[in-house]
Amino acid sequence: MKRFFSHMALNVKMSLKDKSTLFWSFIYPILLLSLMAVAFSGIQSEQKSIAVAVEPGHPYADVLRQIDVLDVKDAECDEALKLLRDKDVDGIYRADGVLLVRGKGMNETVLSEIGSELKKVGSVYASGRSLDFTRKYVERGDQEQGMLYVTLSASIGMFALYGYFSGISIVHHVQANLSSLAARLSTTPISRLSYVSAGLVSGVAMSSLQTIGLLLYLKWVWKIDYLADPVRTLLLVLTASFFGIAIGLFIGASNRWSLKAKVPLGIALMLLLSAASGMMGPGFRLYVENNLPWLNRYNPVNMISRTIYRLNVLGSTKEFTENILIFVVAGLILCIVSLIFMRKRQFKSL
Amino acid sequence: MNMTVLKTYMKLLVKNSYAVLPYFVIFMVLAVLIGQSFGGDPTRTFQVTKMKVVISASSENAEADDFAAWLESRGHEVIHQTLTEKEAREEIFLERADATYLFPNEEKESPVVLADQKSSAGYYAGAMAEAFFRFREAYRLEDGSIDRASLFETLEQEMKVEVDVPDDDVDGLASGLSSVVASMSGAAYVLMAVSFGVLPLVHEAFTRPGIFERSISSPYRISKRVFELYLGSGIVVFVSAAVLFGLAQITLHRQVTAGQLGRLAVNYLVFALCVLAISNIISSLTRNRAAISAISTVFSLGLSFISGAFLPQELVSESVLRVSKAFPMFYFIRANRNSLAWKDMVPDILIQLVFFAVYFLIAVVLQRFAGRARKTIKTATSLASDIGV
Repeated sequence: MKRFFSHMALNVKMSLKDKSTLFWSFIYPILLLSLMAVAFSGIQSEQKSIAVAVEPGHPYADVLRQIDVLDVKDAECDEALKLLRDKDVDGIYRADGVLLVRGKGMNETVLSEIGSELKKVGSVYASGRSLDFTRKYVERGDQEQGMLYVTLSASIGMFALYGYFSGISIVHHVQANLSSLAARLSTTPISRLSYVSAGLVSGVAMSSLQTIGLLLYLKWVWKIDYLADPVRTLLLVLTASFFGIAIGLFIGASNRWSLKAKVPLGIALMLLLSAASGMMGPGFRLYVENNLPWLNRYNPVNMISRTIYRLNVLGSTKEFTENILIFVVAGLILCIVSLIFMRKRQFKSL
Repeated sequence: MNMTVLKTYMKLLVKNSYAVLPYFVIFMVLAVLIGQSFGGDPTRTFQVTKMKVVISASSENAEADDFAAWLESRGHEVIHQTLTEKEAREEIFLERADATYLFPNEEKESPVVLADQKSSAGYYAGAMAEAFFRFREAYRLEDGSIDRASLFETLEQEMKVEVDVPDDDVDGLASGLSSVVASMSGAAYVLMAVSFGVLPLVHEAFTRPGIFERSISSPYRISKRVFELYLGSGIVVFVSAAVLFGLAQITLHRQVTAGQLGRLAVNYLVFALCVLAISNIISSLTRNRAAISAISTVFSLGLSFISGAFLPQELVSESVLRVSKAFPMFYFIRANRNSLAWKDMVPDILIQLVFFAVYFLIAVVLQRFAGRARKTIKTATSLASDIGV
């Protein structure tokens, strides 16, 4: 047991002394999340008003000025057209009662809906009936679902799997044919099982701490609470970290590629899986959801990001137990296979 | 012609290629998927944005039936499904629906619309329902029933909407612009990631103590050495740019005319010049390999985020866009968004050229200082070793 703790302390020391590891594990995720939060915060803050030009003499000009969601600019014909073409407004309510827009889109649809509604209101009053504008006919239930939430949860999903890099590094410390350090270590009476399991435990601890740090950063700095259900979230983070390291162990031990190949492979895979989970915008995620639903169901980044969102924003535990079990079972299988690959062997030359 | 430095440059490039190949593979996959997910729609008539909504109500809810019938008549996709509030939120989260309408069993209670109220789609979903039920109430008769014929006659009234089609110098389809911008922004990000990562790594190899000392003592003219280094970096940036532009054709070929493609190529070429100059600045800033990969990743990803490469520029907050205007990527993306007409693109292309000139000057100055610093260090080291310290 003493040997195990000494190996664990050694692993933690080596990680903390390596500036590059510290940067990629702690500073880079915070930088990336900050960039995302800064860039996407404009979308989230509030429903932006829609800029629209109204030509003098428009029958509904006075009413349009009173609608909160509209940012009305009074403009003559040519001036209004210039505003539209310069993209300063999304549409023009022309004096002849026609709405002129630049193309099709949600803002244009809202403008058309407002114009149509005003026309309908006129028709109702013309038929001798009246409308009650003081009453609320629907309750509006908000759901924080925008791009910021999707991208941030996908990024957290990606960083939770960063244990991958610890996994391949453990293998390169003990597999004699992979590095000179491992070749030297293999001549010493170090217990392989103790070293690997200590690396696994310290790796899970470091990776989980990193993810928890990120969740706290999001909560305290960006007021995005992905720790509303802390117990389940921590359990998810722990199992995801274990799974990440297990993949690293497997990729590290199953072949003789150099670290230079295994690291970019991990980065590329994680970026691709994160993109499928929505880290680079909703378009790609929706495409995968609609055309390759099985990919996202078993995409580990997506499994983590969805579960984090469900637990903390929707208050739902759907797929939670299932995902935890998948991570634990798959992680155990990968660890066992990796240990088989890393069993003691004799080399003719190193 | 003996070009030893260039040959070595290419060998080092191949040696460092492991750092760039994944980016090309990712971009190729993304290019294919972007091409699939954006459909070019050549129509120039206005169409209301179609929503996918879920209506959850008991089977005998006349209010819900009327609302569903009206939504369907307007072309929206309506799914009838009995859901709890949690299930409804799940549907929105999974983006299976833009909004869900939950009708209570008691008609006296108001229906609940669930959507992201900060988005235009959320506002639209709420406003549509609010308007419908207000009009429906206006046509309630004295016996409590609804005059449905008059209601639907009123609801059919629409404002006439026309689409502005400028007739001057426009060449290309506005409907395909979003995919063009997405594709070219992706290509720009990968070009930056590749160039900022690889060029400084190769330059670092040329300035290692042993190689640097052998280089300056060899009978190889310094101007020739510098020229070949620049040529090597140019080859990396422009060949990468060409490959990425070629891959982007997977998306672009369906969306652009030949003229627009030419304009996009010119814009990309000018942007590649800026990337080349910035890469040379990074090469002069540090020779630490770990720091190089950190700077390249953070700088390329950071610039892409703040300049609006991953989401439309109008959605990026004003303060962030103000910062991004200090870098050429903002103008590159804006030029692509205006790529339907030359006159709209030219100012942004010229601004990028100014950036290139400024960056190039900075790179030259930094390289001179870096060179002097290296000579000073080497001289000091040599002297120290000469006297046996």
